[in-house]
Amino acid sequence: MLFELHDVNKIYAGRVHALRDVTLSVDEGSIGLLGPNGAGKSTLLKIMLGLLPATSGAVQVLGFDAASRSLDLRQKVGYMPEQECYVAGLDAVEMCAYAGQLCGLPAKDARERAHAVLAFVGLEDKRYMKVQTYSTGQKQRVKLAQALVHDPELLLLDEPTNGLDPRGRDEMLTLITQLPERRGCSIILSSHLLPDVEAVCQSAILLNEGQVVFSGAISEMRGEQRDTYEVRVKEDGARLAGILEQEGCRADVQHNGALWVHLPAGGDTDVIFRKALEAELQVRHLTPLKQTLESAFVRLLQGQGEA
Amino acid sequence: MGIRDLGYKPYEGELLPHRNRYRVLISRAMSLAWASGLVKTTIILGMFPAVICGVVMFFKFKTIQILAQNPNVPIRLDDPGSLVFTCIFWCQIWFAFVISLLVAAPAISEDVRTGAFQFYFARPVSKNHYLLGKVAPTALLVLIVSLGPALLLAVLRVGLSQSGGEAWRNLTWVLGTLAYGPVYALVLALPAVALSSLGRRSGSIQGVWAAGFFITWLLGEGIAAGADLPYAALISIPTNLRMVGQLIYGMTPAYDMPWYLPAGVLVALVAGSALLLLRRLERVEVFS
Repeated sequence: MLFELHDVNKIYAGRVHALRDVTLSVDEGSIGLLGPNGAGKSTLLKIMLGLLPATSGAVQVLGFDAASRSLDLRQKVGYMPEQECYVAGLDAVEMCAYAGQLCGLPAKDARERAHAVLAFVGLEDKRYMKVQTYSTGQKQRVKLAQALVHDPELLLLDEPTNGLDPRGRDEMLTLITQLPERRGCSIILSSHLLPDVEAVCQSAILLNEGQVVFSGAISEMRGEQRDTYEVRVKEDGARLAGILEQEGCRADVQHNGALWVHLPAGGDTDVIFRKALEAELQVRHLTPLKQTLESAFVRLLQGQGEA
Repeated sequence: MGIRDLGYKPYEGELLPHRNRYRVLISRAMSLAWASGLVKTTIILGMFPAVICGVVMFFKFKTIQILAQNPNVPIRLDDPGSLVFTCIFWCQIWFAFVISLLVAAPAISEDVRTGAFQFYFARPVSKNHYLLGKVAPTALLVLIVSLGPALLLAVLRVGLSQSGGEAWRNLTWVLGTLAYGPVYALVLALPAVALSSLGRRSGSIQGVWAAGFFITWLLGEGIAAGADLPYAALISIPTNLRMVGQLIYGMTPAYDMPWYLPAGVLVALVAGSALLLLRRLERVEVFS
């Protein structure tokens, strides 16, 4: 078990309810942490690292109680922050070695591993340059290197592709995707870029207004809807929609002219072809509807709002 | 630039316990400070006044011996040991102040500017260790430029003693220096580090620290001497430090007032700075 939270609440200054009855149980792997601004993601991360006490509830991360053993816990966690983060006056090797020492590595081991992780992130040629002189992309790589130097069991990545060009972004995502397998660590990826989460993570936690809206596999979140199809006809899709609704289907005309047809329970796609034939409409495209993570994200948030 | 995985080996060694993590912070801060040419120059130049004071002490000692053989000459000189205080206060304060300006004033403001709080506090580094890692290097460097030379002079004074009894008496210069040095280091380090936590621009922090130090010194001493208001001297950090030093060395204080007033001002200054630092660190956000 990577982490477990039981009925965790966090109330700031007695007024702002940042987390409400959060109960989660998450296994090792790559987990996306999603949610709009103010959803409680940062508060959740702070509580999980023992940087902030929960108002109530229990938090266990990597087998440690986050409140009472936060330093032991942080020794096994690597964190790559979103914002610029470096120690003035240090080059990349010194900074990574310093990071390693602060996590408990002996000085010599820290130095050796600093060289290794800088090679790992592709900065071996520039490792003796002062970090403040690096480009945004290089700074992202150093931030990843310093998070990895002590061989953490859990890696927290906060917007890791921020400021990277498309090629750099692809490389960073490739590297991150390989990490659980190659280094045996779990990843919690907090990002606003849903394609990044989709590329890296197998599961996701969606927070909104301090509550867990969804927790589970990404495919489950996307909601593979087996009974919903996207249909395109040569002309007058609206007429077919009307006919299908008389047959118990729900058909929505999309802005691009396509129909999203929800079949009734036990329904079959035959009904679509049959009714189109009767109405002398030519079906040109029929495919099971797959939602993107983005549309699933919006749907889940709307669903919570309606609830 | 492509990512080249040159192979990854898991770390199989042991991790050191985090209770001594402040040592890593202190040693890194010391090596960063030592890498600065200005700090190095200040420390090296800071040794020269002690050499000059040592020479003066030797000649003063010899002069006193000669005068003692000629009782008819109506000149009396004070003990050459007083040069220990002259050295530590009037000479070394400039170097110690420059050290506090160069090392303490940017200590935290640079971390605010570069986002290094996240670097430290997402790791097993407690806020107390972080504080110690910021205050101790400045205090140690101030000690090096203040206590170091003064201690050598105090030992020289003991060495110049002509009898066991005199050497025993002169040990008070050594003990006084050992007691005064830490006070001196705390007063110069802690307020500057506390100021450093208030902003992200090291230059501005340095300006405020320098202005606070010298303007209050000039005003305090000026009003105390010009308007004959000795208590006005209490607004000056260096004057309080001077009076506490005179008290420790058993010398006559510069202004006639109860000893606990300058001592109290310094205690309040140090305690206030520590409280400010703790409060500022409580508000540090690691994730935002």
